[in-house]
Amino acid sequence: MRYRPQYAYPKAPRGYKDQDFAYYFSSVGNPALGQNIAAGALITNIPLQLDRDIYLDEPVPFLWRATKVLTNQTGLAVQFAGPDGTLLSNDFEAVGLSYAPGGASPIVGLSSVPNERGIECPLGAVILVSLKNISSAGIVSPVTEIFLMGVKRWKVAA
Amino acid sequence: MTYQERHQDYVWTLPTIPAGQQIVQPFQFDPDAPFVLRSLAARIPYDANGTQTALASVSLRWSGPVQDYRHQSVVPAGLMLGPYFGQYGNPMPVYPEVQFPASGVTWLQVVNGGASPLTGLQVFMRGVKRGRPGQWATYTYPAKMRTIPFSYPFVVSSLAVTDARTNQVFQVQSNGDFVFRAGQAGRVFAPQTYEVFLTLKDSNGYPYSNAPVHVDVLFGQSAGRAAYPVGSAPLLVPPIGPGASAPGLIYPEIYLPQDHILLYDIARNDSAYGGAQAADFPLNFMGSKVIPQ
Repeated sequence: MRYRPQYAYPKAPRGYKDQDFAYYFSSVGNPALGQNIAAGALITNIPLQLDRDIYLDEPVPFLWRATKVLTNQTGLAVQFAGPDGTLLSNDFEAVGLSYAPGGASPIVGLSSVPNERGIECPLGAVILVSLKNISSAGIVSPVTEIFLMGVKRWKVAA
Repeated sequence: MTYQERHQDYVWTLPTIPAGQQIVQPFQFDPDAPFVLRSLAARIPYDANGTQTALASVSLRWSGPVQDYRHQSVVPAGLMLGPYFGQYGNPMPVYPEVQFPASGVTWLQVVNGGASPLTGLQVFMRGVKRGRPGQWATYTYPAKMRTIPFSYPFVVSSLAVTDARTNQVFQVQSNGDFVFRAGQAGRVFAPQTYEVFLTLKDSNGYPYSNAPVHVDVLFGQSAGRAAYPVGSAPLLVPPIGPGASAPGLIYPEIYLPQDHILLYDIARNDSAYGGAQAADFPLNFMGSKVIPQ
């Protein structure tokens, strides 16, 4: 495959338009993300519920194209499963090596990690995320935020 | 296409440069194929504070294949190589690319403007080998397939303070091919590691670099421990911007069919750092899973 820049996605097909959209899940709104995790322990399959938009009698899919995970816990690792249950890694990934931009703590708006070619999430899809503490110290009162970025594909009225 | 490209890193380790002195030295590329230079980086071993302060006193310039220097005088490394000196998987681009013939030579002129000797300075030239079609065994996509973003995180267990392991095996799962496009590596929590080097090799043992490459140069990570000197009375700043969103790229990507392997050597030499201890060393190979249809 020849090089192509990331985010050089094709335009929406004729009759549709893409609208930037980001899902934000935090340990405030989703307490499951804020649970304490003992060293080596894991919490599996936390559901991240996506929207159920229907417009002009058609479901509106979300094209998941990038991810960002920010956390105050260096020992946190994550594993995502796509809307069809397909795992996106063969094991848990340390957040610092997989979904976090560098220098995150004092900086906002840092880049996200592309989902190279993107994943189409149908109406009402559920993304599953599992958490693991890969350090030897317990994770206590974590603050974790997950951004799922992409576009919603809307039908255009004729 | 009339040629085949293959990811390649050249690592040039310079001899110790006394304070206030300079060296001018040739480096020869491999004889098997021309090398196309596309980016540069430099590093020096971490000091006891976990910084690379000595880089602030380095100025250098490099030449093309006929000793044609690309700068009229040496340039401070921080100006030539940008933030974090091209490390953290983000080497400074060289554009247009510079092609060296097989067994070609580049010249480096390096000045140590500091008050202490420079020991262990390395200059990295990243690009591709441009060989004959079929020169290296490769695989590619099936005619009908789909891809999903996919990562292979794994750890090298209990890497000792001084350790060297050769021909470690990374194997692709049997449920799909894997396209290796980028990587991240390094411990994100204590105990820290300092001097860890990787040599990636194909399944035939043919390396993608002429020498081991420090993981901060090859891949980088988000929770970087390194602080980099800015200015002559250096302000030490952490890397901002690299990490998983801008990982060290493998170009061209390496296509690994299901069940196939990639070899790597890993070495660690942290004996000079107080408090260093054995640790699991994490790596993350990032890319796409390819599922034939």
